[in-house]
Amino acid sequence: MNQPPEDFDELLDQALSRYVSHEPRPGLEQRVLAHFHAQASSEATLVSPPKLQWLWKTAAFAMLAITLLLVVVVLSLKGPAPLPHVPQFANHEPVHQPLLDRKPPALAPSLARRHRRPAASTITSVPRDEVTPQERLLVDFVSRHPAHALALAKSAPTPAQPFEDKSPQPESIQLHALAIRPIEIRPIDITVKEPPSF
Amino acid sequence: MTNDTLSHAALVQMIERHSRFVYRIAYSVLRNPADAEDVTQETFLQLLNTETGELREERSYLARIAWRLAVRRKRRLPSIELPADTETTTDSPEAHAIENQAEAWFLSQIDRLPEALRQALALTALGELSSPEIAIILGIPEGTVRRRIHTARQLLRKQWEKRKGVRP
Repeated sequence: MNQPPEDFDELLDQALSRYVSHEPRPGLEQRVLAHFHAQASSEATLVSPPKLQWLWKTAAFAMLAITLLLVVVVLSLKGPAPLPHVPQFANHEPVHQPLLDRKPPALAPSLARRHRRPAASTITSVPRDEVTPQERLLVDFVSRHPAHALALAKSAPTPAQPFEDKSPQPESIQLHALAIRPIEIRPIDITVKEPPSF
Repeated sequence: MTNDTLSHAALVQMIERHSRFVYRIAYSVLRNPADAEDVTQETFLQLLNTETGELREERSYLARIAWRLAVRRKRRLPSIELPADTETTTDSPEAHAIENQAEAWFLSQIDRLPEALRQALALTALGELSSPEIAIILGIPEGTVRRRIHTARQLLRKQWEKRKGVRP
């Protein structure tokens, strides 16, 4: 008659081998293979053939090219951006040459780097020889419908007049000199004619 | 199938060679036959897009995938199914009963171990993986694997001595 094992290590190893030695149901390999084949075939149908992939790539490239072309055309039709309003520069007195020749004071290298600016001081008056889109439209309209344009120009409202200031004006304050009569001081006549009787 | 991916014949051979091994790894983590089989199938499906360069050590590779999938699944399934039947190594009915009782106790104690210790112990108990392989699968150094196994055994020993009424 065998005795039950009392040794801890022996019992633990026995329990551990039982713990992990569970056998699968028969036919595990077949089930795994079948599942594998099913999945592989479904993935194969999902993958598009190479010709289709090339078609997609070509279509995407064509769309991109058309978009770029449209952007370029729209930008060219739009014209240049309006210039910033810088009329003061044109009216300024010309800068004397000695001032231009004068070199800036020497700065520390880091400061000099910080103060380095783009050539903004060379802005001068730019002749405006281009027509804005609004002006172009106006010219087009006048050339096509001169009579209508003339009528519109005649019926154009007069330029707005400044509003008259009709706010109530306060009356001017008139100052009148106060008539002050001089005070006369007269002596009081106190004479007791009869003593009071009780 | 491109040249870089595995050929169909190689995949079939791999399934036939390693499916039981993969199943046992999954079972050691999940303790549930149905879940272990699902993980086995998922493991081999991972090979569909695997390149041949990744499969120098196909056994370790499969074990690593199976272990990861099993751990991921275990996080979703907290319930544990304990085995009801145990194999006997003794002839006496009395010894059989005592041994069954002790083994059931051990199995329950192993299940109560911290997950990191339990996995290291279970992978060692498979008997098919060396310490370096287990280290690769768990993603930890080999020394840590040994330490975890030692700690797990120590914890179980303490519980066993407490159960027997023996002071350590």
